This record gives sequence, C-alpha cells and structure tokens, in this order.
Amino acid sequence: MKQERVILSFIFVLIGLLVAGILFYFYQSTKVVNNAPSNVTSSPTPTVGAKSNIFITLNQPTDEVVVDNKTLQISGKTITNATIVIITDSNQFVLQPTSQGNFSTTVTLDNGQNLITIQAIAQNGETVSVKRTVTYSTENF
Amino acid sequence: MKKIIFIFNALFFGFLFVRASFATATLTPADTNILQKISNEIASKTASLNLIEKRGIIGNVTDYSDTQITLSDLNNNTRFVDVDELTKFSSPTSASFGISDIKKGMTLGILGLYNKQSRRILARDVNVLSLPNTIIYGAISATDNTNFELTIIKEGGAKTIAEVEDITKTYLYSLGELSKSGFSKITPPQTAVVIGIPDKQNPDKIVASSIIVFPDISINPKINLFIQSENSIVPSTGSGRKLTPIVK
Repeated sequence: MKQERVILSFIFVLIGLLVAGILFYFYQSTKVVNNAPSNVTSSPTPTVGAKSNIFITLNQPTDEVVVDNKTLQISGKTITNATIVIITDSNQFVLQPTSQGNFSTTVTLDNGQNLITIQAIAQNGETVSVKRTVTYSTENF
Repeated sequence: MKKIIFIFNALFFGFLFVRASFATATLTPADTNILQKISNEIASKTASLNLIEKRGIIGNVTDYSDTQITLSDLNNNTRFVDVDELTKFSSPTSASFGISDIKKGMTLGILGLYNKQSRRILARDVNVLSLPNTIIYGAISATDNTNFELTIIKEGGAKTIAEVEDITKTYLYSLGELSKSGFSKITPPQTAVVIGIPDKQNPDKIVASSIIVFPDISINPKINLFIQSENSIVPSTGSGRKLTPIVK
C-alpha cells in the first residue's frame, strides 16, 4: 500500500512538472515583445527671452549643431508685427513674420563655426535676441 | 511518510538542478539568435541615447594645459575641451599653430565629440577665430558729420560711438523692404542695429561694418535719450539769465 502511494506521488509530481514545463514553454514562445518605438516625443526647447511682451522661440537650428550642408534653415516664432533681424558673420537679413508670428528663412554658412544672432524687434522698440553657434563641417570622425 | 517527503524533495531539486545545468550548458542556434537580437537592441538603444554627438562651440580661453583647454563660451559657461594626438590645430595667421601657441583670452572654435555624461568635448579641430562682431541695438541720438560718427544709446543709457568708414554698409528697412542708404540719410532719433568691430583703444567705440536703420520702429521705451542730452542744455530761469553750475 505504501509502495503504491510512493509510486503514485512520484508519477503525479512528474506529471505536474511536465505540465508546468509545457505551460512555461508555450508562455515563452507566445510572448510578444513590443518593439514599437515609445510614444514619448521630444519637442524643441523654446528659447524665450526675458522681456515682458516680445519673445522669440527658435525651432531650428539647435545651438552648437554640426551640419554638413551649407544651406541652413532658420525658423521660429515671435509676436505678430515684429521685425526679425538675422545676423551672421558675413550677412544680415531682415524679414517679417507671418500673421501667426512664424518666420522661416535660409542662410548660407561659412566654413567652420558660424555665430548666428536672431533678433526680434517689436513695433514699440522692445527687442529680444538669441544666439546660435552652427558649425559647417563635412569631416567624419 | 518521511521517506515519501524525502523522495519528493530529492526528485524536485534534482529536476531543478538538471534543468538549470542543461540550460546553461548548451546554446541552440535559436538561443544564439535571440542573444544576438538582444545585443543589437541594446546597441541601438545606446546609440539612440546619443551619449556622444558632434558639436561645435566658440569660446575664449581661460586656461590650458597639454591635454585640456578650458573655455568660457558665448553664454559665459565654462567648457572643458580635451585634446589628444588626433586633434588638429589651425590659425589664419600661423601655419604651424599648435597647442603650445594657445594663450589666455584667445577666441577658439572647437569641433569635436561631446559626451553628454561627462559634458566634455574631445576636440578634433581647434581653430583660432577672429573676434566675433559686436551687435548694438539702440537709438541713434546724434550724428557727427565731420568725423562720420553715430552716437548710439542703448538700454540702460549706455552710449556707444559707431565710426562709419568707407566700407560701412548702411541700410534702411521700411515698409517691409531693405534698401541701401547712406550716412547723410540718417535722421536722429532713429532705431538702429549696428554691427561692427570693437575699437581696441576705446571700449565705447566700434568700427561699423553694417548699419540697419528702422525708421518705422519706435524708440525702445527703455532708452531715455533725454538723459544723454540734458548735460548739453544750459538751464534757464526764464528771464533770459542763464544758470551756471557753481564751481568751488
């Protein structure tokens, strides 16, 4: 009688382990790993001046960026009716933003480091400016 | 009963031991593929973190050694730049410029690899730059037709003299159009942006390379032109008799 119980116990344990093993195998093989990119998106950090009314937010370029294209787009947002002055090492550009305050233009970069100043001037004379260092280089390292 | 428990435990732990040993001892091709995928995933995630990226900065040298340059950048932040045997140096005035030629106060352009964790740049190119242009925004309060100079009043009342040279380009921005202008067409007070190079002998003076005048834009309310001109006005009592300061 005792011997039968031992054998039965042994058999049940083996069956239990076998079932657990099978279930574990199916769980591992059917588990779906989510490789989809995270929904967290990074938005450009606005650069807002310390003035009360006038502001300027640059979408691009980011500061200290290295580019391999001589043509650089500068875009951002300011108040409506502001005047935007873009000053590079070798040129100056003046433009008006759209009725929503958006502005965009392209400038040509010199070789190496380019210091670009973007200044917004309100009709009442208040102003705010931001600076960006943009490096043109095609060097690979 | 004790025997049953003993046998059960022996079987259970024996099974676990055999299974663990088997799992670590052999790697099937499928396992290798999974490991490869995991390592690729880790590598791509590390790259996506962008711990290292190309950057270019401009700054003035505050300290230097054989392996490091300390700069004060345009925002007055201290930046540490490492140099190694692969770092290239160049200067517009010297063909054999090297790290030993770097002096305090020099303006350098650094191109290199920026480590976001250590916040240091490993320089690949170090260039000596000329002083960046000075940009002055303010109101033109007076013109000197003899010396061809403009007096610019900035926010806070600071005064700068802008020297106009033959090479100075003068523009007028009105009604959305930028047009060429001249010194004689400047009629103070007017809002202006002056770009130029600082005069080494006079810190309150710049040699203008470009002047953009904005006649349609009001004078900044924070600029008080009256303060600058009141010294030249001799106060009067109204009876024709002028008051003069008492000199002891």
